Formats: sequence, C-alpha cells, structure tokens
Amino acid sequence: MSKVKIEAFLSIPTCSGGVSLSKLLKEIEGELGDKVEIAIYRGRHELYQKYNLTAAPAVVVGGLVRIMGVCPSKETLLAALREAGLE
Amino acid sequence: MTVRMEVFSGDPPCPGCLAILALADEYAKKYKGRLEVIKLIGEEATAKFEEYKLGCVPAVVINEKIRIEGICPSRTTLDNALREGGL
Repeated sequence: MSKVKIEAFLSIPTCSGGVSLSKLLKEIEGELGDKVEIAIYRGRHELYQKYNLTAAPAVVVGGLVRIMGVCPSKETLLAALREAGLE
Repeated sequence: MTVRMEVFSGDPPCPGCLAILALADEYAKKYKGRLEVIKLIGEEATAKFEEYKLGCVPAVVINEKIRIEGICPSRTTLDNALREGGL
C-alpha cells in the first residue's frame, strides 16, 4: 500500500499553531512513519497558492485540503488520514 | 513620550496574525502621535524575531520588551500592556 501524503504549510516566522502542528507531525511520524509521507513547507510556497490556502497553519492530506488556520487535534488528523486510506 | 509597539505576524498569516495586524492598525489610529506602531511581517520580521528570541507569532513587543507571544491579545490585555509601557 502506498503511503498517505501529509503536506503541512507553516508561516514564517512560525505561529503558535504552526509550532503545535510541527510537534504533532513529529509524533505522527514516530508512530506511523512507515505509512505516511510528510512534507513541510514554510512561507508562501507555490503549493500554498495551488491549493488556494488562505491561512496558516494548513494541512493537506492525500491532495485534499483538510485543515486551515488551526492546528488539528491528533484525533482529527488521524481521522483525515484514515479517510485518505490509512489502515 | 512616544511608546513603540512592534507587532510580529507570520506570512502566510494565521487567524491570530490577521487579527493582530487589524488591531495594530486600529491602535495606530487611536493613539496617533503617542504610539509608534511598527508591523513586521514574514521574512522581513526574521531578524528582529531572532533578536528578541521570540518563539512564535503573533507577537507584540512594547518598548523592546516582549509582552505578547503566540496569541492575539484582547483589547483589555493590549491596553494594560501599553499602560505598563507608559502610554
């Protein structure tokens, strides 16, 4: 099974939600590192425009925008990952 | 005496950063002549952000003292901080 891709978008400098999201992603990587692929983008990356994001932090899972302007709880992120095919 | 308020925001902005930038504009008008408001956004904020050893945005520094970090303050909180800064 292919890995589920998580793309995280953080501001420069990082906001409080971005700091929390970074910690959460480290936790997720530690627990599900063999099942997820995590990419972190900072600032106005071209993908930020492509996904029509309007606020940071933002999380795109499996190519779909799931969270914008807030750090999700671990449960929320796991639910998004499951919807994207995480087993 | 003019009080100096430096307001830090990330780019792309989080909801807290958008709120604090609006508050900065409001206070610049309200205290015109008595309050110097400097907005530091994104990459242009990095040098000062590191100089003050800030951990995250949004942040407010009044007369070179860190007063708010990681959250947009209420008007009451900001008023108190400005009073302590001599406004």
